[in-house]
Formats: sequence, C-alpha cells, structure tokens
Amino acid sequence: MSDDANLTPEQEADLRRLLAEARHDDPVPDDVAARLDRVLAQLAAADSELDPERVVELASRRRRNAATLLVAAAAIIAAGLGISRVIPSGGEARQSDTASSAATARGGSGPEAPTDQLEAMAPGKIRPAPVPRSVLNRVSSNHFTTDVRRVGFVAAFGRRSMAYGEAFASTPHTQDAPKPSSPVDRNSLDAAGSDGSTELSGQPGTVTADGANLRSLYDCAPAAWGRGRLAPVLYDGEPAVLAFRKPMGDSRVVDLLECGTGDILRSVTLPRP
Amino acid sequence: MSGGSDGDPDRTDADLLQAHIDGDPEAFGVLFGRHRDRLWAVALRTMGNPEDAADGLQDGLIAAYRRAASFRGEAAVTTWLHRVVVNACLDRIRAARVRRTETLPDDLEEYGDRGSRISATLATEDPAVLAVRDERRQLVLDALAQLPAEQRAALVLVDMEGYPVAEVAQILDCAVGTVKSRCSRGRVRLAELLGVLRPGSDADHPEPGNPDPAESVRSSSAPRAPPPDG
Repeated sequence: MSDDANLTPEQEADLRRLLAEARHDDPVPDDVAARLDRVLAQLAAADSELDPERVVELASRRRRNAATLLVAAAAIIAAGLGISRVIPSGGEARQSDTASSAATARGGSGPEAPTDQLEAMAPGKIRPAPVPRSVLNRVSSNHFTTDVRRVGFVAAFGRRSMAYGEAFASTPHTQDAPKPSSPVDRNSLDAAGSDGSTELSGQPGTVTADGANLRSLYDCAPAAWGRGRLAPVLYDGEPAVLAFRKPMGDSRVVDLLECGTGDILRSVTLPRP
Repeated sequence: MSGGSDGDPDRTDADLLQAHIDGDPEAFGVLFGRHRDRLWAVALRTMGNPEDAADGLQDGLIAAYRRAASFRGEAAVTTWLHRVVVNACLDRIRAARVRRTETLPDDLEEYGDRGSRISATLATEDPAVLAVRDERRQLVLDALAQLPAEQRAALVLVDMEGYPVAEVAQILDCAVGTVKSRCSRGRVRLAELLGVLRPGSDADHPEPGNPDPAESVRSSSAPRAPPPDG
C-alpha cells in the first residue's frame, strides 16, 4: 500500500484513538529523574565557576590564548590529515586494516606505519602545508552527533598536535599545551581549559604567515567560549567552534558555538572517551 | 527539580526562563520540573525505549539549559522545551541510523513492563479487558516504532499528546502542512501495519481465530529409524 492511500474518517478516528490510548502517562522513572537532577546540579556548578568579571579581567590572557587556539586549529587539521591517512574512514579503513597491521607487524618502520605518522607531526620535523578550507573538520547538521564524535577523536591528538603547531607560532604557548604521555592521549579530552574563556581569533603579530593563512581561511570572530577543549570546525560550511566540556560522570557535553557571540548553536552528550 | 514538583508556582515559565538567563541557579530546575513528565513521555514514545529516551531527554535538558538565551519568546516556553527535546531525540535517532545503517529501534518489549501499563491498572477493571488493552497498546507501539522518525514524532505530538498541529509545527520547526502530511502518511502506514485497512478488520480486536501455528518442531523429512543392521 502506498502512502497516498486514504483512510476513511472512521479508520482515521480509530487510529487516533489507538494512539491516544498508547500515550505514556507515568512520571519520569526515579532513576532517570535522579540522573537529570545530577546533570542539572553539574550544569549549575559549572556555571558558578564562570565568573563574568574574571573573564573580563583575563582579556589579555584570552588574547594570548587566541593565538594558541589558532595554532591548535592548524594542529588539529594537521592531526586530522595524519589520522585520515593512518585511519581512513569507512570501507577504506577496513580495507587498509590488513596493510596497517602488516606494517605494524614489520616494526612500524614502513611509510604507512601509524607511529611514523605521529612522529612526523612532532615539532620541527615537517612544515605545515597550506591548509585549504576543504580540510577543516566539517560538521553537518544532519549528522551532528556522528561528526562531533569524529572531531573528538581527532581532537584527542590535539595536545600532541598543539605542540607541533607551536613551531610556527611566534608566541610560545607551551604552558597551555602540556605534552601527553603517549602518542594518543585519551585523557587530553578530559582536561578543561586553563581558564574560563578563550578566543579563537588570532591577534595581529602573534601568528606567522602560516597561521595567518589559516586565519584567512578560518575566519571566526572572538567570543567567550567557556571552559573546555576547543576545536575549530565548519558547521554546514560556516566557521564555528566545538567545545568539549569537562566530562560529568560517564558523559561529556559538546557544545557547538557560534563565532563572534559564543552562543550555543547545538549541544550533544557523548560517552566519556 | 526532584519529583517534578513546582517549587515556584507564582512565577510563569517565561519568568523562570528569564531568571535562569539572569543567573538564578534554581530557576531552570523549577521550569524543567514543571514539564519533565510530558517531555519524558514524548522522548519515550519518540525514541521507543527508556534508555535512549533518557539520553535524549538529558541532551535536551542540557541544550535547553545552555541555549536559554536564544529563546526569543515567539512561542510558549513549553513549546520551545518540547522542540529542544524532540530535536535532541531526532538527532540521536539519526546518529544511530547512520551508525547502524539499519531500521529504527523496535525493541519495545522492555518498557512494556513499566510505565503506563502499571498506572493504567485500576482495581475495578476486568483483568481480561486490561489484557486486551495491553496487547493492543503494545501492537500500536510496535507499529509506531517502524515509522520514520519524523512521522513518529509528529504522531506522538499530535495524536498521543494532543498538541495542536500549529504548535507541533513550531516544535518540529516545519510548516503546518508538513506536520499534517507526516501525520497522514504515518497513520496510513500504521493502518497497514495494524491491519486496519483489511476488509472487515476491527482496530480494537486482533484477527479472529487462533494465531498462525508455529512451525512444527518435528522434521518433515523421513522419520529417523535405527540404522539397518549390517
């Protein structure tokens, strides 16, 4: 039967009555209510940590961090490129599993070995290539959760990559980007930003030509992003920022923030990595 | 928010939302508590199982908490809350569909044992009537779970929750005609799944007679016999 089939008024009334009878009338189960209460309390607690006056006072630090984030943008893109080569998506990934495993089994010395890819991203070992807009992390409104998960995975390499990115920043930011203890520092996503607010937009003179190239490609006006780990993305083609908030229990909130205002465009809760 | 009680009956939803935006740490909890049960019902029926519904509702809670300042007052606060929660649920369904590339969840058996079935039980009702009602409800829920998410959300809001089509259009952020179309197509599909369109069928009663016999456990092949001697 096609969707164009018509119901008689009696049949439609029957169906609507059946649907109405299937309505759920019970209150929220206790376990769900407790969970929601807990999340609300954590949200309120997180808010209380964000003192607006402190954000204003930290303006100079925010400007300094702006360059860091801009550098991080380039670094995450570079990490994404590296990861996309190491772990191709979809069927390509499955097809290359065997080859990658074989390369690893050979001691990781081959050109396709993941360890070599990561080493290649160490500071000073390679120069960043010009970054086309097409390789920025893209987040689609239609696949928001899936895309955010992917960006989160890439961002897990960010700490390492941020140090790499500093190689082409004129201002040192190593105090904001501790190196991980392992090539893939899964806990790096757990670390909230060191202050309550940061900016993505670079300041004149703080970024060298390579960074400036990125800024011209990724034009995101500054805003108060809040605490968390930030990732520059293109959301339906427009610059935006993903903020991976500090995990709460077994989950973490990821906010999509609007450039210039910091307004939350969308949010999603992901399992803690 | 605990218990879903209204701790501040003198303030309207809009007052509470504005208070939250202005920094009142308690306001949002009171506001969400007012509508939590209906939001839960919508999330549950949209997602199809309590676990995913809890996740969707939590997503909606967080999104609404953080995006409160984006509320422009063009709709009722409760409409906006429903919109945020339904969108969060649909996002989860879409993400799951992408991940699994299979049909929507239809594992509804689990929550058939909890929730409204219990509350609907009245001591004065005939157990046989209750059994028929439960069976019918489960059939409807099973069929509902097979609909596309957008059609299901429209039917949940319009036919289950009883919201006006215009308000549902605001919740789903689409045109009124789109809501009507989704409902119409969803009902037709439901009718097909429930057998309502079969000649002489009755939506209130399952097909008469015994159900189709289960496949015999006995093999239709030649009976086994002791191996021939020698």
